Order: sequence, then structure tokens, then C-alpha cells
Amino acid sequence: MSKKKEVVMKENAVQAVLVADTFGEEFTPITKDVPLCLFPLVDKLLIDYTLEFLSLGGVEETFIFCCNRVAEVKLHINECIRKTVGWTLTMKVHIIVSESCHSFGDCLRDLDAKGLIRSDFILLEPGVVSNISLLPLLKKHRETCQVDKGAAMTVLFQESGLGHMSLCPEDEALVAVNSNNRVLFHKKTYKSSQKKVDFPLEMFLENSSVSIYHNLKDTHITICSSSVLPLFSDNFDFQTKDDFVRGLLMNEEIMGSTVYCNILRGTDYGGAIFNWRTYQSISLEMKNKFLYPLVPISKIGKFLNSPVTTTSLVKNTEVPRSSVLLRSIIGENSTIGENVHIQDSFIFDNVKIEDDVRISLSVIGPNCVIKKGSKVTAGSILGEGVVIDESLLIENSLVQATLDDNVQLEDKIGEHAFRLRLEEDEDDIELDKALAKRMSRLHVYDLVGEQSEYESDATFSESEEELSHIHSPPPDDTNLFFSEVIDSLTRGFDDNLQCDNLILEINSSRYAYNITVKEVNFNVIKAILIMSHNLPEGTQYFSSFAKLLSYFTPILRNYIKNESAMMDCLKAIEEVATSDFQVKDKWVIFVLKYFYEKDHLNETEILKWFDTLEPKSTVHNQAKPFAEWLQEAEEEDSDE
Amino acid sequence: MSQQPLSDVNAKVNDQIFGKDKKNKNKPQNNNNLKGNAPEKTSNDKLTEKQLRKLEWEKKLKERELETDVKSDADKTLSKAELKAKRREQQEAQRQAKTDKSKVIEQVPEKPIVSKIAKLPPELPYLNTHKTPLKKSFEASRTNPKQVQLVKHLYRIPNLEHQSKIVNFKDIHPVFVRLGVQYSEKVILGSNARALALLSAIKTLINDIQTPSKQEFCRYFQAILQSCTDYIQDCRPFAVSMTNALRAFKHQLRHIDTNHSDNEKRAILLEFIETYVRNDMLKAWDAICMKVNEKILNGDVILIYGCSSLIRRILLEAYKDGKHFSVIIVDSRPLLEGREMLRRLAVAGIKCSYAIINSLSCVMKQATKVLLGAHALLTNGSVMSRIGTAQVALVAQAYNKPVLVCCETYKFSERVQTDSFVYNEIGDPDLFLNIDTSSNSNPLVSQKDNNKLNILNLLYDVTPPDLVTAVVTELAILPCTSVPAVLRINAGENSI
Amino acid sequence: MKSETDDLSDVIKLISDIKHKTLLSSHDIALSTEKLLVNLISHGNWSSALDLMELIRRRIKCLSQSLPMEATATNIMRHILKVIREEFEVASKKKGEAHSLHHIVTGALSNILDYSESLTSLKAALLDHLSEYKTELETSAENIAAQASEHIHSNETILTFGSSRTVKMFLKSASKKRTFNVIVVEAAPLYLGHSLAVSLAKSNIQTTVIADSAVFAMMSRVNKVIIGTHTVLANGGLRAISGTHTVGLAAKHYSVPVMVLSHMYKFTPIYLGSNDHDTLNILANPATVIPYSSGAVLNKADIATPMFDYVPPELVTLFITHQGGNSPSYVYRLLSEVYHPDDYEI
Repeated sequence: MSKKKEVVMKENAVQAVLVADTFGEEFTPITKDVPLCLFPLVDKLLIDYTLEFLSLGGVEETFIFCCNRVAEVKLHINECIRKTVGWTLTMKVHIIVSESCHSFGDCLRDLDAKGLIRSDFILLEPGVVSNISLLPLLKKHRETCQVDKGAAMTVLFQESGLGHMSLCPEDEALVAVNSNNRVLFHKKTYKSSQKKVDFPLEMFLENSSVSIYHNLKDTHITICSSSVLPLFSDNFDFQTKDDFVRGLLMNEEIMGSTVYCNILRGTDYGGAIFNWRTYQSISLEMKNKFLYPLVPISKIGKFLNSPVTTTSLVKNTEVPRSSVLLRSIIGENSTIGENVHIQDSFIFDNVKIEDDVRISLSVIGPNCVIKKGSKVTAGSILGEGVVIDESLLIENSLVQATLDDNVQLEDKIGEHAFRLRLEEDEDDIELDKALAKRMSRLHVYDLVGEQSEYESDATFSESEEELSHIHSPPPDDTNLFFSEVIDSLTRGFDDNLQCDNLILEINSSRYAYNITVKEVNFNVIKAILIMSHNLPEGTQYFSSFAKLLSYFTPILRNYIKNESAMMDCLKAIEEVATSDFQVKDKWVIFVLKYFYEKDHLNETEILKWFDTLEPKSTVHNQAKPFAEWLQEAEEEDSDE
Repeated sequence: MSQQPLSDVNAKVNDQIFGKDKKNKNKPQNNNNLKGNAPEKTSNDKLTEKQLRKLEWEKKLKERELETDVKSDADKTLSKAELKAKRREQQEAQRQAKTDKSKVIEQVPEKPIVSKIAKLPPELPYLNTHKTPLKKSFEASRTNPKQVQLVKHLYRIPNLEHQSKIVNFKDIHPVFVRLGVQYSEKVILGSNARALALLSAIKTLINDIQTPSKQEFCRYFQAILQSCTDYIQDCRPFAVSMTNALRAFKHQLRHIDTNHSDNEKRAILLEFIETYVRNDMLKAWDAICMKVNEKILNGDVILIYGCSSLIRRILLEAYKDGKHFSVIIVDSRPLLEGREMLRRLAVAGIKCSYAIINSLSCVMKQATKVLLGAHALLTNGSVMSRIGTAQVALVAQAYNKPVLVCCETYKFSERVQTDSFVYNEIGDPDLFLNIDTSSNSNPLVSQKDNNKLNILNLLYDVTPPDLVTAVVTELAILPCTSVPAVLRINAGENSI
Repeated sequence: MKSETDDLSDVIKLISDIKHKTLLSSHDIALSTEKLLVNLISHGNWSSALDLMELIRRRIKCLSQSLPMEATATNIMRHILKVIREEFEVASKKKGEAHSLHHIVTGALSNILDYSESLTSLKAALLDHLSEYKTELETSAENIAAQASEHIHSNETILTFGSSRTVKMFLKSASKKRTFNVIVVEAAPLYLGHSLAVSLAKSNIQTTVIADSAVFAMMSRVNKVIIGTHTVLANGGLRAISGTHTVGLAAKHYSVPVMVLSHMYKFTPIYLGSNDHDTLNILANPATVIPYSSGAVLNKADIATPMFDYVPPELVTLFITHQGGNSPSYVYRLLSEVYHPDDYEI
């Protein structure tokens, strides 16, 4: 009845395409029963936010591709229209059912076949939420198209900071653009195991200016020309947007199509939920109002009494006083018993949690029951209707309620609880894949709760060290100080400045960064030694190295004043020798000898240091002859 | 009377120096004993190195003297314009170099390095052309319309006489030239950091200076120091902390026993600076930390403003002591130092909230205490501090929250001031044009040259004493009004 | 129910226009609300005053639910409710009696009017009144601006905070007769002060832009503070953009008079006594105060970005409306002139 909306479809209505389902297994087992777009997000469903964003952004017609549980999605959309929710006024929504599609690419090929798209359109990957005003960006895209007929796509990125929670490592990318914002190079750094990235030389030759970004977050929103759909149809190997971008960039000449990008700054926010980690971070950011004006309704009075770290959202659910909730979101109509402890977790609707239950870093699907005294921790995901019996410990597992092909009988943990085998449990040779799986779980960094970043970094076990690049240390003062020292020293050496001036410069940066004396000693020596890497290789190497050192003698004198400073100096030598730089085999012995002869170091300290070295390490081996020689000298000395 | 303790100090210092010398002398010998095959000794190197350096400096100074002797006064005035131009050129070049450097970093944002330079407003085209506050204010004084009438007296008219003198870089130790640039570019910011940097520059000067024959060391030194500090003053007006430190140092310089050798005098002066830093700054900080620490209770919500190094120290200490409290950081444009504070406190693990100064009346309700840093404490009890401090104190009073101002006694000043205009500093107005939280362009940019439109960027304000509950100093927690008493006591101590 | 004929689509359209920011200033909102009402009265499905009032009430409810901060539209509708009552009284010719002493003394039995009575003349009378009201809305700002020369004298220094269309007109109107200086506070995080300053400077007014932190320092040299507001509350307090409270406190400290320019539709019959009241404030995007690219720090810190300040009535010296100046203590009286007491709570 209310379909007689007054929204008249204009000939050139702004169109958007939303692919509603991820085709991977990121959200199993919950997606078995709840499609991604109907996931609760803070206080509404994900799709509500997506559609509101589109309508606020200026979209007038939206096509939703559904593959999973279509009936429920349809029901929800109709319900929205009946209630005349905000977006229904200005936007028309069509649901396209495509159960035959098995990838993002399939959906677009299907769309191409249907011929519904009239001109440029906005393409959303699954799970997008944003607050961007799309019309200006669309206009910009059209302008670009007028200049460059081949412009197929504008990818929207958001400027973000490293170490940002929502900058998912899986999404980490390196992007190079020219001055017109044309994307020249796009690489997902995470997927490759290489540590190096090679840029094609032509990129720099052909463009007068190239900007390389590594701090961008993919919003998973793209503005596409109508040529995108045929391109997908022509290339059956394009499964995802990333395939598309890569393919286009690789075969730019053949396809004659180009990709542009737009970097969002300011209050614009965009992001997509494509795994549990992003689900968590977007929930938090939404709660912190980064998506303003799309904000959950909340009581404002609380806003400062409860800092981010302790906020929990509870809807329609009674929480007894004896229970503690931290950074968690509890769905509607759930019951929580006495003395329950929930942190960093998401509880969907109608969940029953009995007394003394502990839940952390987990997702509990709808209609689950967790009986007295159980523990659900470390990235566990419970599917719909799971019943966890009393005093069970569920750790790092996926649990579903029913028995099917994927589950073996020995994985039964309860009448309505079967453990799904994780791929990583199997002997997965592909480390990357296993890592990806792990990283897609809820955030681990909060595990240590209130502890500082430094401390939590330090507590990471060996096995997690390989992940450390995501926890890339904040650009801390010492590093800044170090780079500044290197700067001044290099400049000083090149310009032949007086060492005393350099000392003063170093000291002033020391005050600026509040660095301890020990760190100053260490970093200055390290800086000087690292400079040796820039010296020309060859026979002249050591003589020029000696020249360098003698030039810096006043600085060395100034900083190596006592025994503890000597130790710092030796530590610096060790550090440089073990660093990635290729040091020559004689390097360590040369440095030690030089420092010893010039009286920067004395033998007791060198020997003391030598003892601390791990036997058989390279430094140990290299320093060994010198240490032995020192010991002999000492013995001779005492003999006399 | 006063000679006695001084000579005592001298003796001590001499002892130390000799002791050091002895050590130095012993060392090579020891080495000799230990290993006969060790090659050439280093002490020679060091000596020659140092001597060379000194000779160079000396030579420069002599040259200068010759010049001034030979040249008549008339000559001097003639060359003024020339020299001035030269100096401007040099400064310009330095600045250019700086901006270039920042540009280079901007262009390669592979990893967003948060360095001092990168913190500058990102890639704005007008940044390059207008990053010269010094020059700008100078031009303004000539053309005039872009000045705010109310604070006309604060626009610095570069002292022409002055400039001619300092044009010659030979007059000024390079350390001071660098320092001047660092001050005016706000690389060194905050009154404590500025005072420390000044003292360390003086130390270098002491080490490097060579008295020409027939001149008394202290007198000569004073003259050189004067021209150096004049230059610094020209770059950016002195902070009270710097004035006080310099005054103390000059006092020492005047009262030095003329019978000592130059080296002894050097040692005395160096020792004096060391003690000054140790007692008036480092120990004062520790004492204030302890005192405030007692006042921080578990469950406190402390509201702070900007990025005072002392406040940061206090909070970190208190957190280390296991106090549970949270901090509300209030920040304001254009410097936005609070972000740095937020970063540092958050990294340390302290629970933080961040708000801009306009949200003050909303966040003040949550606070239990307000801690503020100070630039200086004036004799009438007013607190001179980063602009906005008075506003924070005002709102705190409206909500009946205690306001504690933390200030070392070496920042107490004999000046009296009742408003924020008589003495203040004007910052670069162009800082207002850039808003890093908005992607839209600022309407002010297009109207920058409109004579009717001024932008006023005051750096300090004065908080009246009735808005401040107490001042925490290393001596005690005092009411603001006891500044004159403290000054009297300190003066008394100094004169004995 | 009437729901078949009344689908509320007009008010939802209004809400979405406000949300989509196609209507930005309160003036535009006022005008389109008026248009909505004209439409409702002339084409709406109602036969009696009671019906019409019910229709309007439902729109007010709908508005205040989805846009709790938006007072302009609801206030205009509320005012029209009162107009309907009055017009009904006039139309049913009972007005004269209601004012007689006899009725006041003996109780208002006959005051209870039967609004369900259907009156044919009502529609025309209401439409008449509305067109009058429309002219009032359109000229309101000019009327306020016309009073400028009564409040600003030569060589004064005026401080204003953020940007208000009414303040801009007021100052420009004053500048035709007087010369004076204006200090504009930039008002983070929206920095609307910048555009105001540019506009003033273009019309040849000596303008100085200062940072929010310099308000206290500058206040000692200011002669008058002239600001706009978001709403005027029933106790004479203000709900204005954040930072206004500080301006008021500083003005009080230096005994500088604070004048608030406001249209009648900003007067709202609600009483609030504190700053963090639920219905008073909303939180804006934290990215307006600290860029999203600041990185890891955002995961930990709590960023407070309230949009509004509550300014207590004792900090306001004068309200200037198109009818002239009034002190805050008189606001309650103005309210009863504009709205019917029965319509305060809907």
C-alpha cells in the first residue's frame, strides 16, 4: 500500500549497487543462519546503516544482491518501507536474488546481464558503513571521465593512521598515485610474504609527481563508470574488486581503462565489515560517533563518565550488579545471570547467560544458552542456538548447533554444540592463510586490557612476533630522536661542521624528546656507526671509515665519558652489527680496535660486554679474536 | 665577605678539574703499561683538535676586532643596509632549507612519520610562501594596515640599529644563530625547554671563547654574551624563565674573582650553570611532582590544558606511583599541543579524554581538579601562561573546581601586569588558515589580503590571582599573592 | 484511525531535508515549516479545529522524535496551535465574553470550548493568519537588524562568537551609521566564525579573528558581546553552540553586556538547568577535533565533542527580538504570548 511512494524515478537517478554477502567463510558459523547484512551493529542492523548512508549520500536507487537467506532480508526491507524509515523517502530499493553467484564478480556479471544500470554508479562491497556525501565525489568522477575517457573506477580511500584499530592488516595496501589521482600502483602488502615491494621504473619516468601512500584505509566504496560491468563480464577471472583493480593496472594498455582514487580526510568516514576484527572496530567507532550523523541513539549524560574503554551497550537486557561488562555489546532480550564477566565480546539477541559465566573476545550468536560456570574465550564464535553445558571451556573455536558434513562426531561437545574444525588446526602449510584467519578474529591487543601499548607489546609471545608488524610500534620519541641525530650527523659530516655544534644540536633534540642519557649515548654511537654503511665499498672502505670516526672524535669524547657509557657504546656496536645492514666481516673488529686505540673504550668493559654476548652469534665470532687478544695482553700484564 | 665562599667553590672546582686532568693523564700511561704494542696515543689528537677549534674561533674574533677598530663609525653606518640585506638573505636561505626539508618528507608519506616537521600543517601551498613570521611582522610594521590597533605595541619592530650589529655572524657564536632560528620557528617550545637550551648554548660559548690579550675575561665575555642574547631576543622575545636564568648567570659573571685565570673562571661559570639547572630546575621539578602527587587521589579526574612539560612529568610520576586517576586534556588551536600530550599520556597507559577549549564547560563538570602550567608568575599574583589558561581557570571557578598552578620559583618575575595586552607576544596569524580536521577550504584564505580583516594570534594570557586556588612551587603550596614574599627570600639568599 | 488519509509524508520529507542538509539555516527551516502548514490547512483532511490540532500534534511528535535537537519547526507548529485556538474563539464569537471580569471571577466554565465544532470560516481565517505570519518570518531578521543603531555606538568593540545570520545582518546594518570594530571568535570545531569574518570584512567592517582560547584575554577590551543562539529556553537560558558558556562567563567577569539576537521561533517552552542533560546536547564526530589519521591514540582516548552549551540566564543581559529588547526574566511571559500553555508539552 505504501509502495505508491512519491519518489519519482528520474531518468538519471543516482544508482548504487550493494553486494550483501561475503562469499568467504569469515563469519561461519553465524552466517549460516544470519546473513551478514542482518548482523546487529550497535543498536540497529548493518543494512539499516548502509541504506541510511546511501540515502543521506544522495543515492536514489539501490540494488541489493542477496544470496544468503534472501527471504529474511526481503522481509526486513519491506518492514522498513512499512515503517517509513528515513531512507525510504528518497531512495528506492530493489533486491536481486542471485543464488547462483559464488563471488563478487559473479554478481556484477549477473548485473551486467540484467542491464539495470544506466550510467555511473556507486558500488559497495559487503558490509559497508560510511557517512560520506557521495554526490560531490560522483561529480568529481564524472569530471575525471571527461578528461580521461578510459576512467573506469574511482576507489575511495580514507586517510588513517598506522596502528589504527580499524586499519585491518588484511586490508593493508600500498598505493601510488600521480598528480591527477590516477592509481599507478596498488598492492595489498599483506597478501605477499615478501618484505620488499618493487615499483616499476616507468611509473617514475612517466609521471612528474608520484605520491606513495601506505596509510590508507580502503572504504570498500567505489564509484564506477558503466564500463565496469562489461569489463567484469569480459574477464571471468575477476572475482573481487581487488582482482579488478589489479587486472586493470596490469593490462592498462590492452583494456584502455584506468583507475582513480580519492582520499577522504576530515570527518568523512568509510569502512566495511568483512571479518570479525572489522566488525569489532567498526562497532567501537560507531559508538564513538565517527560515523556522525549516523549514530546510535544513546543517552548523552553518560558520555564522559564512561570512557571508551569501559563502555558497553545493553539493549532491553537486565544486568545484575554482580556482573561486569567491558567494551561489549549485548543484544536485545538477553538474560544475564549473577557474577557474569563479559569483555570485548558481542552477544546477539535472545541469548541466555547463566551465573558465573566468563566470556571474552568472543561472539555469541542468537538464541544461544551458556550454562552455569562455563568459559568462552579467545576468539570463539558460537553459531545460532548453541547450548554450552555447565562448566565447559570453549577456547578459540567455532561452534555450531547442528551436525552436518563439516563436523565430525568426535567434535561433539554437547547436545547442541559441535566444534567446527578450524583450518589452522590442520597442518596448513600456507602460513599466510593461517595468519589471515587468526587476524580476522577479534582484536587481540585489548587482551591485556588496560596495560599500555609498550607493555602489551612486550608480553607478546614468540609465536606472535611474526604478527608484530601490525602492532608497529608508535613512532616513539627515541626513534624520532635517532633519526634526527642521523640527520644532523650526516649533514655535519657532509658540510664539515664543527662537532661541538653537532653536540649542541643533539643535546637540544635530546631535551626536545626527553631522552635519557643512556639512550642518547646509544643512539649517537649507533648513528655514527650506521653512517659507515654509506661509505663506498672496496679497499678504501676502512680508511674512509677511520676518517669518518676521527672526524667525529669530539662527539665520541663527549658522549663516552664513563664505564656505563662505554657499555652503551658497545651495545650500539652490537646492534649495528646484528642489524639488517650487511656489515663486512672485519667490521666489528675494526670498530672495536679503533675505539680501543683511541681510548673511547677500555678493556675491562669490552671484556665484560664480550661475556654477555651469546656464544656462536655472529657478533661473538667476529669480536672473538679481539677479545682473546685483549685477554692475552692482560695476562701478560699481570705476569710482569 | 662574599669572597670567601666563592674561593671555596673555586678550590673545589679546581680540585675537580685537576682530578680530571690527572685521570686523563693516567689513562694513557695505564694503557702503555697494559699493552706495549698499542699505537699512537689519543690525547694528542684531542688536544690539537680542541686547540684548532679554539684557534679558529679566536681568529674570527680577532678579525672582527680588527675590523671594528679600523672602521670608523661612519663606515659602519654606510654598510648597514648592505649587511642587513645579507643577513636577511642568509635567514631566508635557512628557512627555505627548512621548508624544503619538510616538503620532502611530505611527499613520501609511505609511513607517516610523526616527526617535528611532519607535524606542520600538511601540504598547503601557501605554507611555503608565508612561513616567515619574522619577516612578515617586519613588513607589516611598514605597511601597517594588517595590524590590530589594540595590540599595536606588541608587533615587533625590528631594531634597526640592532640588526646592523648582528648582521655580522662573526659576532655571534653559531650556537646562538641556530638557537635563534629554533626559537623563532618554535622548534624549541615551552619555557623550561627554552631556558635549558639557552643555558646549554651559554655553556658552549664559555668553552669556545678566547679572550683577546689585554682584555679581562668576564668583561669580554659579557660583551659577547650581550650581542648573542640581543640576537636571540630579536628572533623571539625572551621568556621569563630565560630572563631569570640569564640574570642569575650575569650576576655570577659580575661577581667572579678577577684574580683567577681564564680557565678557572670558565670552570666556575660552567659549574654555576650546572648547579642552576640542577637546583632550580631538576630538583624543583622533583619537589613539585612530590607535592602535587600528594594532592592526587585515587579516582580523581584531572583537567589539564595544553602540553606543559612539568604537568606531564607530574602525571606520569603519579601514575607510576600507582594512583588511579583519569585525565581530561583540553586543547586549543592553533598550536594544538594537547594532541602531543594526549599521545604521550595514552601511550603511558593513563586514561585520557580529549576535548577542545569550547567544550570546556561540558567537560569541566566531570573534573575534580584542574592542573595548569605557567609561563611566569608575576609579582601581583597573576599567572602568565599559554593563551587559554585564564579561560580554563575561569570556567573551573564557575564550577567550583580547585585550580592548581604548577610553577618553579625560577619563573617568578618582578613584573606586574593586570591584563594580557601590556606585554604579550604575537604569533604567526597564518597558522589560523589551516584546519586539519576539515577537508573544506578555509574562507579566510581568499580574503587574506583584505585590509579590514585581521587575524590576531596572541600567545599568552594573564590569569588574575582570584581565579587560582593555589600555586605549587618547590618551596611549598602557596597562594598566588605570596609571589613577592618568595622573590624577597630568593633575592636575600642570592645577596648573601 | 486517520492513518489512511494522513501518512505524515510531508513531515518526513521535512525531516529528511533537514537531515540531508538541504535546509541549513533555521530561517529556511522556518519557512518550509510554514509552507508545510499552509499545505496541511488548505489540503489536509480535517473538518474541525480539533482534527487539525491533532494532525499538527502528530507532526510535532514525529519531528521531536527523529530530530530532538530541532526546535524551530516544532515551535512554529506549536505557535500555529495557539493561532488555531484563537481563530476558533474568534470564529465562534466567544472571545468578547471570555475577557469580561465576570468570567474571570466566576471561573472559566464557558472557556472550555468545543473545538470539534466545524466552522467553515476557520480555514480562510487561518490561511490569512499564516500569510501574515510568513511576512513576519521574512521580515523578522530585518526588524532585528533595524534596532542595531540603538545598541552599537561609535568606536565600540563588539565580540561575537561563531556565525549567525541574524548577527551578520545586525552588524552590517549598524555599520551603515557607525564605525566600530568586530572581534570574531572562530568557534571550533565548525569554524563558522571564519566565514562571518570574511563576510563582515567584505562589507567594510574592521574585523579581527581570534582563537577560541583568546576570549578571556580579549574580553577586557570588549564593549559588548552580541551573539545568536540555537534556542532560548523557558528560564531565559540559552542552548547555543559549545563555547558560548565560556564567552558568557568571561563577559560576566569583565561586566560586559551580552546581547542575544533571536527570532521568536527560537523561544522554546522547556526548562533545563544543566549542561549535560539528555535533551540538551548531542555529540558530534570526534574527527572534527582530532583527525582520524592520528592513529593508535584514537583507540584509547575518549574524545568529547559536545555540540551545545547551556548558558544560564544570569549570563545574558538582553534578548533582542523583532519586537524589541527583553531581559531573560521576561522570557516566560513571551512564551505565554506565543504558545498556549496546554501545548507546552506534547
